[in-house]
Amino acid sequence: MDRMNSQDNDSKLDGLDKLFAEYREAMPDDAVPQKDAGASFMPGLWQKIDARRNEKVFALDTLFAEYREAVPDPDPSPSFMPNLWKKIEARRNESVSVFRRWAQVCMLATAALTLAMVAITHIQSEPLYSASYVDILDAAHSVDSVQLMASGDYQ
Amino acid sequence: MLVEFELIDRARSGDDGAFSQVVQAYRKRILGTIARLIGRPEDVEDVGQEVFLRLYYSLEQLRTAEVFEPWLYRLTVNAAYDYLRRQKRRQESRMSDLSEQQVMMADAAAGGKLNAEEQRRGKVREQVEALLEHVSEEDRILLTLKEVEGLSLKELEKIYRVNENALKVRLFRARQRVLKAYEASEEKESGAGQNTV
Repeated sequence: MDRMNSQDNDSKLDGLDKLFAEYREAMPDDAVPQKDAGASFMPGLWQKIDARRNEKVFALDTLFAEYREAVPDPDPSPSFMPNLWKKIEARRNESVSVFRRWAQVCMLATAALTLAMVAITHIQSEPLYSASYVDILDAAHSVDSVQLMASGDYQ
Repeated sequence: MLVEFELIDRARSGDDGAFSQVVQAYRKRILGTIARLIGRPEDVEDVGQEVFLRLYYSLEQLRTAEVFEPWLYRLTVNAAYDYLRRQKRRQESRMSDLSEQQVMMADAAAGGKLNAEEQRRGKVREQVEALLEHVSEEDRILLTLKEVEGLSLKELEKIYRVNENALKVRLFRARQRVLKAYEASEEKESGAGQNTV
């Protein structure tokens, strides 16, 4: 029984091989006239590529339109306006406090500068020299003149 | 324009009541734009308040009421960009990286509570957000404003104060990058589908 089955299968396979061989013969490489194939093959291919690409472009456009529908304009919550005004006030207070801080810094700097100026003026008001110019000149030259006179060069 | 120029002029001159009216007119639209720009519903109000806070303190710099909308969008773009940059810097753990909504969706999906439509929307959101991760924060915002919000190049030119050609080049590059990521994800998905068959 098994033997009979395997013989049957073999004959079927042989038949299939024969059919493929006949198909190959019926469809040789030059079955399509070369002239036509050369002229229309590439444009036809590009047309198909373009068509496929256009399909994708169209599908992407459709997807974007669907996204627009899938995310509708939401209704604002009742706390939207109160929260907005709270934020506006907070920002305003923040800028006021920044301004206030700046004003404080400026005032402190001014006070420090004033104190420094007063101190400098006070120091400068004390005389650097207690003697007059003539006294100093006199003191500086008195010794020299005594020495000169003593050596006898002065006559 | 959602409000009269006169109302904006009053707000500019320090009328808090007029400012409140301007906020009330624009907040829903701005919150929607922010939601799509940042992709995290729980932070939308915070970023929205930041936009209007910046508006309050910069309104007096506005030259004319006619340029109010591009000005407001500019503030929105800047606030969203700052938020996305902060988020990127944070990059905490995997689970805390998911938004509250994503966690809720995951829980609900696991419990079988979500209906088909909600699941589809959730999938779209995830897919787009994953694609937008392939471009920088700047390009993500630009692309979203153009492709999702539907702003024209002229409007974008006013918001960004950049010439149209520069915007076109930038948009083209960003779009190409996203398209490439999209193709890759599609291929991956179809490959996974074939493997499971």
